[in-house]
Amino acid sequence: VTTKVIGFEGHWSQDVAVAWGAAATKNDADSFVANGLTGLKVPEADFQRFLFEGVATQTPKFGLEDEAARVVVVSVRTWPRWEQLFVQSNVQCLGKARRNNVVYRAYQYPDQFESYIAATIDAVVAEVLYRTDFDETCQEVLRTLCTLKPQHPVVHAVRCFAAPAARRARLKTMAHAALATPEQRNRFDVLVQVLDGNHEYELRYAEGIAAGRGLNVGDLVRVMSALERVHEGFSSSFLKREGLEQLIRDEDAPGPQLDAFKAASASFKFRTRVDGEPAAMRLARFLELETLERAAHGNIDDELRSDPAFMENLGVLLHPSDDTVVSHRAGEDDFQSIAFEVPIESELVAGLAFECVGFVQGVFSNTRRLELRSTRRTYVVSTGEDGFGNSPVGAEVFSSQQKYLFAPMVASLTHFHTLNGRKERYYAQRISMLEPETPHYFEWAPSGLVPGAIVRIGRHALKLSQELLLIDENPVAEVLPANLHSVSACLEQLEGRFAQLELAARPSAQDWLIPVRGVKPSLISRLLAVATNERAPVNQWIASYYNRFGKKPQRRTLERTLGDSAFVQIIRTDDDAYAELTQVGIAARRVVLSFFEAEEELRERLSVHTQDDRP
Amino acid sequence: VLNRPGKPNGAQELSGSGGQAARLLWMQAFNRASVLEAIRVVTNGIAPPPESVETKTGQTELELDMETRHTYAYLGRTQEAFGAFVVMLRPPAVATALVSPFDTGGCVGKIQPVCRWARERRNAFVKAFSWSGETFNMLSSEYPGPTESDCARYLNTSSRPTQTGPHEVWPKRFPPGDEMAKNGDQNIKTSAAVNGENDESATPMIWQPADNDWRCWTWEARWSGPVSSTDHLEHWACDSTTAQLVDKLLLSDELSDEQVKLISQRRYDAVGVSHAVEQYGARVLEGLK
Repeated sequence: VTTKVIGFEGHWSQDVAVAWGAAATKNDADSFVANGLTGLKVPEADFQRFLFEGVATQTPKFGLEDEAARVVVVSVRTWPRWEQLFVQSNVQCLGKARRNNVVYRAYQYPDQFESYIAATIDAVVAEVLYRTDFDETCQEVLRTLCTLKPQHPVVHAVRCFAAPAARRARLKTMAHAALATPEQRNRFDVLVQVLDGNHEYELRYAEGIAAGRGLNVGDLVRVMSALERVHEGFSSSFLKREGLEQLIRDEDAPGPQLDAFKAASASFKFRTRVDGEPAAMRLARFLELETLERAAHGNIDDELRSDPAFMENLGVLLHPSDDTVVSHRAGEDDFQSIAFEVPIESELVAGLAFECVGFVQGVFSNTRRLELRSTRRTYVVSTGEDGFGNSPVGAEVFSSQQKYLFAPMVASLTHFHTLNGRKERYYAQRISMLEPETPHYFEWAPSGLVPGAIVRIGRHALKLSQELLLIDENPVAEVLPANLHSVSACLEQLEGRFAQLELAARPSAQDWLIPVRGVKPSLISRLLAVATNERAPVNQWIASYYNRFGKKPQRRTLERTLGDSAFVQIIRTDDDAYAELTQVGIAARRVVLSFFEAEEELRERLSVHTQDDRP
Repeated sequence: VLNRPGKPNGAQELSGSGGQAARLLWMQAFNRASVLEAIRVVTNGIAPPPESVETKTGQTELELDMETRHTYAYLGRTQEAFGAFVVMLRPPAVATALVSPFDTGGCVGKIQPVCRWARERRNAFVKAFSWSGETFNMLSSEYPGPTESDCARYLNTSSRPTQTGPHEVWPKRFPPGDEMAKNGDQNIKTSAAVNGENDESATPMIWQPADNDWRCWTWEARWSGPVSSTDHLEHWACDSTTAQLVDKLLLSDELSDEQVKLISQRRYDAVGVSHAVEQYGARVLEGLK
């Protein structure tokens, strides 16, 4: 049985360029007319009445093979200049007919119909943006386009751009009302601004290659040629993303236009408006700069991401050296630093896994990155990947950016590194936010945690009850001398699991913490001795630490940590074992901001403040 | 839309825990002489056509002994053939209406076997299955039912309810003809006898006969006056050609900025009535999942 289209729902008159509606279809087998979308059937006599009332429109009969839901689009060829724009013969359709200068096509709904709409928008926008005079027909076409797709920011923006000044205010009101989401409305505002005037984008380098004043010419050439390669790499992929493929041909895509270069501050300003160019070029320039901005936030098309040459050039542009700070801004916004991740070519292997307590220092929802600040350092982790091909558990809460900023959390992290150890990255497997009054149970002893103590995490004070941290059967706190309850060593696990703490004998000043496998006993006890107010001076300890491991870059961290509320240092014993010594009691409720200048002062503080002695 | 948390006009405002169908929109398709007149419906409120216009609906209301000039809407669907425009009302709008689980107008000429009954019995049937809209939340959990799948079944116009008629859902509302006769209502018995009907057709199995279409198992709401669009209108839609005329109108000076905002804010894709109905049904279903 063949189905034939005999009309469509909706009224149609010759003075509109295009009309569409649910197809009215009829089977040869029966005398009912069906609605192409809802499938509801009415007797043919009723359909005749609809035609009379103007609720439906008759079309020439044409056959359809497919039973899918369908709509009919009627386009007229009375506007010769624009006729092609609404016909779209390249989009696949289920069937078509032609009578005089009217074309009838049936599209499957929604897929084919959506492609039809996208192709039409593409064609009309490209046509309009190469013109300088916008006559009534052009306005009419844009109006029709707005009814074809009422929630498309580009269409509304182009319509505003082409409208006479007197109408613009109302068109803007209409566009704002028609666009459903705030994102769409923002997009519309930006596009109107871009089409009307100029959009600027600025890239700025500091320190590293831009240390001192100005830029080395060699670096400048390197960065700028990287930019040119990146531009070639984009090769109007941004137009595909926007669905505006007809706006510009690949080879015509204008390169970035450098508007100003401030050598002393190493900043480059690009502009979209170039005198004498049609508005299409302006839009293309804007979209490319916007794509670069997105790339700087890590949003890169998969196709480009898999191109090593492109990624290398992008790396040179956005991460010229490890110590260079690159920031950018669009328009009049503030400068934002770039979190561009240099791709690691060789494979990463999972190393040490550990649990860390800290707070959320930054949420970058656009790049899906999270900055976790633990007592020791800041970890930048992805909220989309856990390093093992899944999403981290609990990371979905960060879609709302503000709520969890500076809130305490516990994260299970894994350290990944390349085999040669040159490059490393941390991935979070689980992130749990710590809520007040809600106990949190740890599978592993986290770094920086002491039972019974009040820990300051971010701006939150957290009291950790002993039950929270049970290791083996002996709570760590139990073995601590009463006045030193706040001092303890928490060990991150060795070789991926937590190493047992063993009690050898009755704790004494020296041996109350027994060495664990893989960690040098002498070192631990020495550190503890310092922390537990033994005579060994702090400076000497620090010196011996450096002598032992020669990790000079860590000095800064160490000193900062000393000055911080919690006195924490990680001891790196060998490649895959960490132990963390934590002294928390000092800052039960108070932030100690000054550095400890002398060991006496530190010793005094260590001994004076206990848990109940809150200043 | 119904999913937005904290939305003041959401379905959660209705009291009691009801069926999922209580979250569907009420829809009405209509026609007017001009686009401007139709726009006035959207801006000023949904009202029955003016007194001067004689409609079939008015005649039907007289036959059913109802007050005339009601505003009608169907739950979750409408007939595109009723007009080129469709308005969709938020669930709380029903609180001020009367509801029935079938198209009351259809009882006069279409719905078998009720349309063959004597006038008194037919009108008693309509009256028996009319409730205040305030109880709709509870009613919707009885028909179509409390679950999402009941709601999905309701939205699919081609699937009939599992019961044979509303008398199975609410058995006490409309006792069989004999019982009513015993209660002293002689007219009914006589008229049934006059029409030569047997006992079987005395039960209103309106959801069963093959000739009866989806309007027999669709919730209808009727308001005795106009319904405010600022309070209750969720969306409206029209066909593509009309939408182009509406767009022209929006740019003219006939309307204030406020009206322009209301009109364009609540408009749905201009693909016509059936498309809008289809989309809204699907969207609500998705929301339920």
